[in-house]
Amino acid sequence: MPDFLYLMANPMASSTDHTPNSQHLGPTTTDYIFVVFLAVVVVAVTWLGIINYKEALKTEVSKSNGEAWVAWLTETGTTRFDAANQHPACKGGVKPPADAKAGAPGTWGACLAHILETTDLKDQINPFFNVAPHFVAACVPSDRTLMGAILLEDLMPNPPGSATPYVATQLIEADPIDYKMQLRLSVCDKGGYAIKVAEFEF
Amino acid sequence: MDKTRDNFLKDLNVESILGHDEEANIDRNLPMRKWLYSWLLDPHIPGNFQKDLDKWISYLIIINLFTLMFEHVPAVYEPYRAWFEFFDIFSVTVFTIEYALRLYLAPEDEEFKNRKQARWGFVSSPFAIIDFLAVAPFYLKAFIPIDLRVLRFLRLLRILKLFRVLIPAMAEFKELNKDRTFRQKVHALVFPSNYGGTMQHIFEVFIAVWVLLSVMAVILESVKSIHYVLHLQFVILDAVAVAIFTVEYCMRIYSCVEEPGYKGAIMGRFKQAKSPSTLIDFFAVLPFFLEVFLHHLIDLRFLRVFRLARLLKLTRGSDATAVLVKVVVREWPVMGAATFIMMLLLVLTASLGYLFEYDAQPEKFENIPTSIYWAVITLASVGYGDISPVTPMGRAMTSVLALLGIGIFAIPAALLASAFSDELVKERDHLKANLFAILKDGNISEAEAEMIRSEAKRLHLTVEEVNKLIEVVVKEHELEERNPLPIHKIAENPALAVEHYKVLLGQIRQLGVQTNAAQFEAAAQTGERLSANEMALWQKIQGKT
Repeated sequence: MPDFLYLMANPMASSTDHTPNSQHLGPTTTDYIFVVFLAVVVVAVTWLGIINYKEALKTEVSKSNGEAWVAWLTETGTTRFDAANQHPACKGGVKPPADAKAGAPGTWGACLAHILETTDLKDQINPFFNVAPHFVAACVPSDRTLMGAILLEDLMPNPPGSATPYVATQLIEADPIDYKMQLRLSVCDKGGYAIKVAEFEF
Repeated sequence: MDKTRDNFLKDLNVESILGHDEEANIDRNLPMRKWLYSWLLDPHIPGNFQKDLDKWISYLIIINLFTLMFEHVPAVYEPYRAWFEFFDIFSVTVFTIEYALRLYLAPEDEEFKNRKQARWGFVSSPFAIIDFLAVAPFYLKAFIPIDLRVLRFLRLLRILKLFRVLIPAMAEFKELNKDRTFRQKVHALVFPSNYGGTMQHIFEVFIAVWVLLSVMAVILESVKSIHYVLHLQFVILDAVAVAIFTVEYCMRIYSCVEEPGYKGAIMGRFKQAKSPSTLIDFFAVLPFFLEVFLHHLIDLRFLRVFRLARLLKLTRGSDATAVLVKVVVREWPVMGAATFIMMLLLVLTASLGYLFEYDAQPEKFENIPTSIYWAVITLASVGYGDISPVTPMGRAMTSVLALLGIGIFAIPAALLASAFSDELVKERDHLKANLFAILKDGNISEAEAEMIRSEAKRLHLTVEEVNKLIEVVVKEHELEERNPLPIHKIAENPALAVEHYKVLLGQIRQLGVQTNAAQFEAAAQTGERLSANEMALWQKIQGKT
């Protein structure tokens, strides 16, 4: 007999309708075990969710670190070519010698040392390792030591008509900063991938 | 007969059987308050706006929850603050109108109309208190400075308004399952059955909403600017979605033994676990757990894309996917043959391409695998143009290949389309056969109507199409009545032949009783219409000799 005819003959009958009248209808031990298991599952997923959330918070703190750097560099960038500049180590227009070493006046090294000595940025903490964030050449997913690190790149414009508008190179300590620079700051996330914080002028 | 059929079809009211918009039958001469209540709030009048009103209010509550969530994200809230405030004013206006309407119409409500103070009865009812709390903070802040966090918490109470829909559904679910075990109740909630009622529908909608939300989150996560701003929110949303889907998965595995064909505590559950829909459920949550436990070993970021598989969860309620799978399985041998020819042509073409073009463009047609890529792109009529022939022979072959490609690649598509169409015709024929059995007794019971409803929904039939189908079935019934089995068919079965003979004798006797015997004999003798033997037989049947 086709199933629809069976259902027509027994409107409320279904395959699930096999409870004998004498069957105990209240929750059984198996039901209680299932409910406890379900509760354990919910607690476990919540716990894993909290772990994920805490890890995500670390990435958020790293982003905040990057945002603080962007804010400071952007603000300083607007005045560093003025005569009354408050941060002489970062002053624009000071041409370093051709063979300048890291830390020589007019280089990024000098400016960086000044920032890490005199500003609030020196107190920053990389939440992944509880140490100060360091500057890296690139975020590499296979290198877990780069989590929370800062990647500062100088964006050098390409000639008009090029396939890419600029070339990004890491700003290293010996690089001159005497000209108006276009920078990009990123932070490395938990997976070692770069999260772009901002592109700005310095 | 046609008139009878028309009346039958008219009485049948397919629209009401299919649950389509049936216009409410409300008297225009009712007093204003009663009339308004009947149209807007009476849950017992089919076709009025009560269900629509509840539905749209529910949607508004859910949107309110989302806006409340986004208000905590400054990057989203600050630029669009005015829009958020405008939406809040709109929501409060709608909720206030709803409250005022319910207050005004309370004396017509069955729950309150027998009380001394019907409106006070409404105001002090739990639902009305919830409704009041949903709008009160908005008005209060105009007079009293309330902390924004407190205000947002109070606005969260709007979610309680959903209980207006949930509580009746829960009561119905309880009633439907009052003599059933805990496991059967779990089954009724997660699997479609006669015991699920509105609650099961709400459960399905709830899961579908979370599927869409999590899939939308996966898509938006790939937009870096959005991911940057909403990173934490996406993490929370994913954890909540996984918790919901995991609980759903456990409930399905636990209660599946109530399903037909899944009996057995272990084997039944194992069978359920390896069914395609449950495997989809499993893979929908797996990336989350793998990423949490194995992230320090390998980079599992690529697994996040597999969260999009959650979209497949929506196919559980769709019969179309099952039909498609059935069609592919049925047509597999033919499709296999077509694929084989396609592969043959592909390899042949790639080899010839390599043969003709290698000398002219060794960097492009450097080997047969590279040429296979070119052959596929050409045969499929995609033609990126990154690799193209330059020799006369190569070009001539490509021209032939492009023409062949249209036909060869179209074969599987045409096969599938035709098989899909055949399957739909089969399904409709099946429904027709069901209708034939249902209409045999001339009426449609509630269970039969439910069956027609679910089948019509499954096959996406409109009211007109079901009407036409019923009309055909009624016609066939009439034909069956008029023309019973042909005589040679009856003759094949001796028992049936005896019965048929008895029926014929009965009809002749009936004729003898109803006709005027003298006039019949006179007519028979006039012009010798009946022979002597035929006349003798007539009289014998009539018991006159």
